[in-house]
Amino acid sequence: MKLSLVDEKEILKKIPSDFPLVERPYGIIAENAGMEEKDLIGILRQMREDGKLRRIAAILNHRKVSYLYNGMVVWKVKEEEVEEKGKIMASYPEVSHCYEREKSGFWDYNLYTMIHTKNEREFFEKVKEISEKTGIKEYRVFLSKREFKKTGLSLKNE
Amino acid sequence: MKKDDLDPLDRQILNLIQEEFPLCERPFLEIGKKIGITEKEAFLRIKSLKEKGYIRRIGPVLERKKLKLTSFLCGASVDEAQIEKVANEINKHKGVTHNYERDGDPNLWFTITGETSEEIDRFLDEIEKKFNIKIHRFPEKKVFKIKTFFPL
Repeated sequence: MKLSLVDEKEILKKIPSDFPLVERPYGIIAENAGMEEKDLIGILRQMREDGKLRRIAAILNHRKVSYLYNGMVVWKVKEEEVEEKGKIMASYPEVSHCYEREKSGFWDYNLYTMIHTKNEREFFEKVKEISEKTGIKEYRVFLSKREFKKTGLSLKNE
Repeated sequence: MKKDDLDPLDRQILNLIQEEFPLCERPFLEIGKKIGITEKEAFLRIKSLKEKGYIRRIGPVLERKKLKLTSFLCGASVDEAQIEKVANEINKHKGVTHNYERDGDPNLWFTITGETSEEIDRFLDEIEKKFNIKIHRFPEKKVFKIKTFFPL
């Protein structure tokens, strides 16, 4: 089933960011949205194919699974090297997020990574390793101190 | 290091569903098939992992750009005394998905997604005025990776 972007977003508004834990979650979600389960699955599959839906997955509580240490590292990368360096950074399993962002007239850091490890020693070893591998010497570390919010993006008004 | 109480089957399940939760009518049957347990067992295991707090959520991971949504990472320097109040006010926006206090300056970092950058800017301008702070906005230019995967 092929829908317009507007209609697809309408459907996303009916999908919770955290599925109800029942044996047939898509059935319940579809029922609440007033549609057929197979139609909902078909639409989501199409959106996944189009890349609008990256995937459906479980997001773990990293503190609970021993990945206790995490932080944001921002890197100063030459414009023409962003593509190459970004790909190298993204290849590390410890790097969960890697984005190029606007400098916004605030500073010269333009590549942002989130790095997760089990302890402090591993964290700084990993940062050093990435720095050596990419040759990016100018970076800053912002360790996580306190979590005020961590959730998935949902279009649903919850 | 804190020891978790996961057995090998739990680890196998968590590694599998962090990658992908099946998009089909009977997802727990699929998961069960892959690791050699019944639908019921897979369901009960996952339910228990969620209740114990190992799983934060199971749900969609959306691609903001393709959905024509705008997303900023924001950083602000906020006085320790009022950081909690500021963070709570920011969290009222449903497009705020991550909000952390971090060591360093800026010390408050959050992500915000909305339909347009104007809509987000309006919200942030109000926060700035209310708390007399400056919120630096870093729009995304390119995504190289969004994938939280913790090998267990």
